[in-house]
This record gives sequence, structure tokens and C-alpha cells, in this order.
Amino acid sequence: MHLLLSLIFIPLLMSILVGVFGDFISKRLSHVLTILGVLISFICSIMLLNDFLITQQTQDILLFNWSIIGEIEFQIGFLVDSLSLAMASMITFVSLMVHIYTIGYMEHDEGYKRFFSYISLFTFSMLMLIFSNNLLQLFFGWEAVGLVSYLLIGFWFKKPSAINANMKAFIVNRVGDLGFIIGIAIIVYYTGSLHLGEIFSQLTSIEGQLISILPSSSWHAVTVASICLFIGAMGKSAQMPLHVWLPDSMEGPTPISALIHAATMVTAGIFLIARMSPLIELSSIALSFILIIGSLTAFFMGLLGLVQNDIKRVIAYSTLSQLGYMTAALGVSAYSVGVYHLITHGFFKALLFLGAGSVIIALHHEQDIRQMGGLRKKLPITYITFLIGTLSLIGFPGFSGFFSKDTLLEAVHLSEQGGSHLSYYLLLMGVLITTLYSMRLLFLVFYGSYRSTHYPLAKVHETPWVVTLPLLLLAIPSIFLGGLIIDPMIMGGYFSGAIFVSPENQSLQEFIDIYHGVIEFIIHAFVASPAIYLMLLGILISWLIWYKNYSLPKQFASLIKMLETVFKNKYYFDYLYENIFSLNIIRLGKMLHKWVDAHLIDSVFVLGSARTVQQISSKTRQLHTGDLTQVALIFFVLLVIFTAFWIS
Amino acid sequence: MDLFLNYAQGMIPELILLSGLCITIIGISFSAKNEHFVSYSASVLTFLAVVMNLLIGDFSPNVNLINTFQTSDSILSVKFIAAILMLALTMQSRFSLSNYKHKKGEFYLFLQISLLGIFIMSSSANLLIFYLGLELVALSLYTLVGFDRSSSKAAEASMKFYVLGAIASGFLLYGISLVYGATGSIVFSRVFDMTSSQEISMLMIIGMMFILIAIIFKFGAFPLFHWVPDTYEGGMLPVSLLLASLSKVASFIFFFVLLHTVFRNLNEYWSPIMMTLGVLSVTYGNVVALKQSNLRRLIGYSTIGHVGFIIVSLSLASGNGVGEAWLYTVVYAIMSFALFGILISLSSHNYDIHNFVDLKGLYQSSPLHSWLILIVIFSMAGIPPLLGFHAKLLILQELIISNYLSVAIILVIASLIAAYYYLKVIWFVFFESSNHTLKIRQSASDFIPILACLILVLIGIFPAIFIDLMLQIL
Repeated sequence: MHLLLSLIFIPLLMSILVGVFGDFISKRLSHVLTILGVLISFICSIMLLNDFLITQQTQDILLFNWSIIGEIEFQIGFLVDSLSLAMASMITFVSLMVHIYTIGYMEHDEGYKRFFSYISLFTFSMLMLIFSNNLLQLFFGWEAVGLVSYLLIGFWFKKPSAINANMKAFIVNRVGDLGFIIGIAIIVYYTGSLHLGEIFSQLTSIEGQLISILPSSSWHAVTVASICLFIGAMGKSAQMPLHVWLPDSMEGPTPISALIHAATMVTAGIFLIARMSPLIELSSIALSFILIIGSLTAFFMGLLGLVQNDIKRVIAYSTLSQLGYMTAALGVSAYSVGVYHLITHGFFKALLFLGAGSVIIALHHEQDIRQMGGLRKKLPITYITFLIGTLSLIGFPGFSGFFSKDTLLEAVHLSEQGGSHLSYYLLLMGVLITTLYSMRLLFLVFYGSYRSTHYPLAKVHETPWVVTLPLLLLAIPSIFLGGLIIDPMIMGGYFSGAIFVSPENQSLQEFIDIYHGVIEFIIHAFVASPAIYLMLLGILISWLIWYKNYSLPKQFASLIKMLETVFKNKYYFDYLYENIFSLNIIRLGKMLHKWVDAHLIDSVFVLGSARTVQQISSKTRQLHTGDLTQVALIFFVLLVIFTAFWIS
Repeated sequence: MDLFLNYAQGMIPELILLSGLCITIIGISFSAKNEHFVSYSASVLTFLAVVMNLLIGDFSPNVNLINTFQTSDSILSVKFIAAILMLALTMQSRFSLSNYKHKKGEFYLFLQISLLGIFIMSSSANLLIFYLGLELVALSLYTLVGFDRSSSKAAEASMKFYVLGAIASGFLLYGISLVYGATGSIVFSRVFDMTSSQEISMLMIIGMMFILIAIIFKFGAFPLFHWVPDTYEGGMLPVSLLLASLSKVASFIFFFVLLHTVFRNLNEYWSPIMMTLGVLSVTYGNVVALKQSNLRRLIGYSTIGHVGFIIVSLSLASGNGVGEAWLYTVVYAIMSFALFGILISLSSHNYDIHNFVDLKGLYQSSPLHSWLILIVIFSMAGIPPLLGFHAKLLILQELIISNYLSVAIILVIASLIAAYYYLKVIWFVFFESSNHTLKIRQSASDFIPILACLILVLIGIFPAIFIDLMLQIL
């Protein structure tokens, strides 16, 4: 209990201390305090995880009742189980690394203390989200991480592009949150509770209920609730078509791209669906929907990564694509695999982002990969760790990402969920694409010759230890973690207390049955799955194109050119939103403003009532002219009215 | 003699207050130079003694001294809260009075007298004693409103308040005499028995109607609110604070003692009337407040709105409306302490605020005070999770449970209107800048506002214990 409270609230305390008293403390103290806070948090989560592994006990802790309205209790409470503890350990570790890294990255920034305060606040919000035992508090955490993300994307608030990006993130997330709120409302309506445990025990009362959205069609309430929740998850986890905010969020400082927009916050959607698994399991329509959205995102967003020239944006599209993979895993009821990939991805993606950040500082805030090249010699540590991250991302055998991605692909392959065949092929192609854009990035940044004209190569040197230490520490789990935890997490039923999979969706079980240890897993991957060959093919192709500069045949090139225009415009999503949705909404807004606001509300209601008020005021002002007899009269008038009232 | 001592034991807080009063008078008359300090310290010590006595004193509950004076656990709790509020008020008044040029020792004297009045009101067992207590409070209020003798506005407000108050007193006394005529007694318990046992006479009802009017006047509810904005505008800040906090406690006692204990059986007569007037107060106060440019008048009008909430809740004859009204009264007093405390603290730094425009640039001058104002104003507007939200929510909940849905809806709409002018205050504080460069440092005068704001925030987040405690009192 004490461990848990300090795990969650110490980052908040430190954030407040540094945020409020920032003017009075030195830069050094501000990072010492926040790092200490997150360190304590990390230690606590490891201790709690250890306790859990020994006792295997899920704890549901009620801190206090905040308020009661009708029969619905608003509680503040925590659910400590396998899912939340696994997430917490990853989050606090990555957060700790990012905190340390920030010392180097933000060294000369004016908002140094503000930044530390924000990222500690973020850690607190994220922990509130994952440890929540009820939907209201989860929603609080959900909004709080959204708020901090908004603040951090617009951290350099003097840059117009940053402000546009944070507005975009905020607005797109509102769309998702609307779905989330409706989902919560449906659940509360049928189960009468916000508490997760009670909701899951009341599921029979929602099962079989019908909701008619349009007068002619009726839907199962479970399906509607699940899809609404998933729309919330789509906003936060940037699934198509609500993905547009994530690439733009790269306007923020790199440490938060690593922490918030790669490792933790964007995975909140995945977490939510895994957390709500008993509900989601009841609707196979919702599962298919999740599966299709996820695999489409995985495939199409990966393609976009191929044409980006901003080092951070390439990784951002890769994050989108990997989130698509996780979502697809949820869609085939392989929640544990989704979370497993989430955790391995958290480490290697944070590593890639921080590595990219290290390159960016070394080149003095240059982000364009066309201006880089040949940095392997100059930035050895960054290069090695970036290479490890890349190999993990593309699923090179033996690396962390290999295990999670291969398990994920197998789960989709074996599933009989509607749409799983299509998804499987999309995801397989995704493996090739992932390899292409990752290796392209690696070759263009670290191999070849240095191409920048305005920043001499001689001035480039390895970044300070506060930057490289987190890289090294993140590289270790990026290699080993996947292989280490696959046994307990996927095969050993670590999540059995937190995640529910209905008997007909046990596709993963087949895979578990044939599993015999890590080494055999690797061998099996060579024999049974084309993924590994697609990956090797990808390495070969990218080596030819971007290392050997092998030029393509003519006809092929023109086809690529055409595709490239489509990709460069990001499938015209932004165009669609900005020129069709937004424009028409603005037009509608202007119309409403003119007719409803200006004419009806302003002139009739507001000004009308203001006029009335003015008249009343001037009437009352007459009573203030000193003529007390009028007021005295009111006493008697009142008496008459009262008596009349009584007699009637 | 033993019997008398036994009774006197119940009166110890009053006796302490009375002796403190005498000591203060003597102190003021014999120290011309230090009269402010002498009077202040004598008052603080007196109030402290009263608070301590109420906190740790050994009271045998339910004393009833020959039908004039009674105590019970809930009366003692009410007195305790009133005494604490008065202590805080005294401590905060000092910062305002130290800038005041004329003789100022008597100020605290009147504070003591009004507290004594409140004590007597809450402990009274018959109508005349009650009236005496009420007049003690009223008379000291008239004087305090006109305390600033250099201000003609104060004199005018005080005079009007006095004349109207006299009429209200007349109504009350006339009502009492009619009730006496109908029942032959002025003792609470006997009047109550008469209302329950036999046919209710018309005389009795009319007498009660007179008393109702006096209650409405004391609350400053619609339509007898004219003195409220005037006194808030004309009086000194501590006086406005007194009117907003302890005077409301006194009015609450007035309503509670007469209508809920003495005329409880007649609730079908008074309940609809009071409910209507309460709703009208909330609507009227908040709508008129919209157009005020003077901040203090605005607070006055918003007080009418808040009072409406208290009256609506008190008008609920069944359920726990009384408890929730008491909670609202205390919460409103705390919010007033924060708001006026901040104004007092600012004015002690020569930053006087009369109109909205005076708030311009406050954020540049003093971020601390600005954030405190933000907390109070949000709490007054009823924004969760601050304490003001819970107070409003409970009343709305009670109304809905008691099938007064339409009333609840009107109150919510009126609160929305109120949110507009509350947010206007925030707007002026944070978003309008001015060119003066006054910097205000924190000082001792910020202690009580900060404390009050902390209470608003912390109890707002952990409301259960406090709310239960307040609801149990009555």
C-alpha cells in the first residue's frame, strides 16, 4: 500500500515542487529532485512486481470514496495486478531514462525546469491511468496524459508549427475521447457501476441488450460499447483515421517523443482494450473491427515512413505502424501478445528516439536525413545502440522485437477471427516495409558520406554521458528482454488474472502447445514463417538502394514516383480533414454564428435579457434614491401577498 | 444555589464573553494611546477563551433554565463554529483597521457584542430572549456598517440599514405579540405544543407571516435585499466579511429556531413561501449581479444568490435540507473569509479594489493573491472539486430526491449565469494588464485567506469527513 502510494504520488510531489518553486531552486536541484522521484517510483514498481511474482495476488485497493451521486460511487482506488505492474515497470524505467537524457538534451533551454516538472507530471498521470480500478479515474489519467502531451508538444510555444501541432493533437484526441465517454456511459447505464471488478461481474446484464442507434437498426450494446471504447483507444493510440496528430507531435522536444509519443502514452489505447478484455471478448464484431483497423494502420503507415526525410518523422511513422501491430493482436484476442509487443516496443522505440535525439544534438539541431551520413565513426555509441534498436524493430532473430513480433504474427495467423487472413498478409508485408524504412534510415544516417554543407563534420562529436548512458541502458532490454519474458508472459499465463479470453478465441493456445523454449522458437521461425525471409529480403533491397546506390529500372522508377506523391501527401488525410471537414465545419460555424449566435442568442436572449436586467436595475436604482418609504412599503406588500397566498 | 450553579455551567461561554466585554471597555477607556492594541488583544483572548471553553469545557447537555436559556450538543457546536469564525474575523480585521485614521478600539467591542447576540439567539428558549439576542446582533451591525465616519457612503448605508432594520424588528415584535395572543405563551416548547395539539388559529398564522418577513429581511433575500449591496459597498471590508459570514450564521439560526423548531408543524404554510422567495433570490441576485461594475456591489448581489440557496434548502421540511443548508452557510462563510481576506490583505498594501478595473494587472502585481482569488471564485461558482461544488451539489441532490426537480433546474441555470460574472473576475485578474508596477509581497495578512483556500481545496478533494461532521450538527 505504502509502496504503491509512493510509486504513484512521488512523481506528482516532485513535479509540484519543481513546478511551483522553480523560481527558487537551481537547475541542478530541479533535475535531481525529479530524477530521484522517478527513481523511487521505479524501485517501488520493481518491488511490487517482485511481490506479485511471489504471491500471485491481485490487489484491489480502495483509497477513498470521492463522491456518491445516486447509486454510482466515484472512487479513487488502485488495481494492482499483472497488467498494471508490467506496464508500470516499463513506464517508470523508460521515464527514468528520459529524465536522465533530458539533462543533456535540454541543457541550454529556457524552459529546463518547466520541462522536468511536466515529464514528472506525465509519469504520475500515466501511473494513475494504468493503476486505476475504475473507469472514472482511468478517464482522469487518460485526460491528464493528454493534457501533458498537449503542453509538451507545444513546449516551444513560440514556434507556430508547434502550436498548430499541439492544437491538432488536442482536437483529434477530443474525437476519440467522445467515443470513450459514450462507451463509459453505456457501460454505466447497463451495469450501474464504474468499478472495473463490478463491471466485469455484471457483464451478464449487458450481454444480449440491444441499442438502436438509427431507428431502423439495432446493435448489441456490447458491440457499441466496445467500439466506442476502441474509438477512444484509436485517438490515443493513433490508429487510422485518427492518426494524423502523431507525426505532427514530433514538433515537441525529442525526449518526450520518446517517452510520450512512442513508449507510453500512445500505448494507453492498447492498455485500455487489454484491460477491458472481458467486455471486448463478448463482441466478435468489435474484435474484427479492431483487427482490421490495426492491420490497415500497420501496413499503410509503414509505407509513409519510406518517404519521410525528417529523422524523427520516420520513427514516428514506424511507431504508428507498430501500434497497428499491437492493435491487430488485440483484434485476434491475443491481448497478452499485444501487451508483450507493447513492452518490448516501449524499450527499443524509446532507444531509437533517444538515439535520433543524440544525432540531432550532435549535428546541432539538424533533423533532415539528407543532411546526414557517415556518422558511424563520429558517434560510435549512438551508432551501436541505434543499430541494436533497429535490429530489434525489424525483428532480427534473437533480438527483443523478434520474439514479440513473431508471436504476434503467429497469433494472427492461427486466428479464425473474421478478417484475420487479410490482416495476416497485411502484417507480413508490413514486416518487409518495416525493414525497408528502418534500414534506409540507418544507411542514410550512419553510412555513406557526410552530406551537410552548413555544419562541418569536424565539429561533430559524441554526445555527453547523460545522453549516451540512457542509450546503453535501453539497449540491454532491447536485446534481451523479449527472449527473457516470453516464457512467463505468453506461455506461462502471467496475465491470466488480468486478461480474459473466451474459449472460442483461444487461437494462441495452439501456438503455446508447440512452443518448446527460446532456441526452438528461433529455429521454428526459420521453418514455419515467411516473416524472417521477408525481413532478410528487406535488408538486401535497402542495402542495394541506399548503401550501394543501385539505381532502379526506369519503368519501376516512374511507378515509385507516382506512389511517392501519394505517400508524401500522407494519403491526403490531412487534405481531407483540413479542406473538407474543417472548412465545412468552419462554414457551418460561421453560419451558426451569424444566425443562431448573433441574431437569436445575442440579440434576443443575451441583449434581450440584458435589457430586461438593465430595466430591473434602473427600477431598483430608483429605490436607492433615498426614498426609504418604497422599501418600507415592500414589507407590507409582502404581508398582503403572504396572507393572500395562504387564504387561497 | 447548587441548582443555580448547575444552570450557570451551561452559560459559561456567554459569561466569559460578557466579562471579556467589560474588560475591553475598561481597557479602551484607560489607554488612549494603545487602544487599538489593547482592544484587539483583549478581544482575541476573549474569543480564544470562548473557543477553548467550548472545545474542552464540561457541559451537561440539555440544560433548560426556567424556559429562558437552553443548551444542547448541536447548539454548542453551532456556537463553537461561530466563535471560531469570529476569532478569525478579528484577526483579519486588524490589517484593515491599522490603516484607519480615527479611533478604532470599539470595532472589536461590537464584534464581541454581536457574537454574544448570536450565542443568546442560539440558546434562547423563548421568543423574547430570542428577540434580545437578535437585536444585539442587529444593533452592533448597524454601528459597524457606519463605523467609517469619514465616508458618507457608509453613513448613508448604515442609516438606511438601521431604519429598515427597525421596521423589520417591529414586524418581528408584532408577530411575536400575535403568537402570544393566540397561544398565551412565548415559550418555544409551549407554542410548539399549541401548534400540534389544537386547531390552528388565524391569529397564529398571521403572526407567523410577520415573523417570516423579518426573517427574509435579516437574510437579505428577495425582495428585502436593498440593504445588502449598499452595506457591502459602503461598509469597511471587515464589516462586509461579518455580514457575509457571521450575519448569515445568525440568520440561519433565526430561520432554524423559529421555523424549524417553533413552527415546525406549520411547515405547509411557510415552506412554499420560503421556497418561492429562495428561488427568486437566487435568480434575481445572480441576474442583477451581471451588470454590476462595482466589485463590492457585485459580491453583495451574489450573496443574495447564495442566500437563496440556503433558504431553498431550509425550506425543505422533510429530509436533510437543514443539515445541507448549515453546510452551505459554513462553506459560504469560509469562501467569504478567503475572498474578503484577500481584499483586506490587498488593501493593507494600499491596493484598494472597488471596481472591476481595479483588478486589472493584479496577476503582475501579486501572483499569490491572484491564484487565491481563482480558487475562491471557482469555489463560489461551484466548480469541482472545490468545496463550494459539494455544498451546491448536496442541495441540488436533496431537491431532486424531494421531488423539486423544477427548482433544482432553476438553481442550476442561475448558477450558470453566476459563472459568467465569476469568470469575468478571473478574466480581469489574469488577462487584463495595467501599467502600474506595484509589487505586493506576502505578509501576515495572507495567512487566513491562504488557510481558507487550502480548506476549500483539500476538503473539496476529501469531502466525506467534513460533510458528515457538518450534517451531524443539526
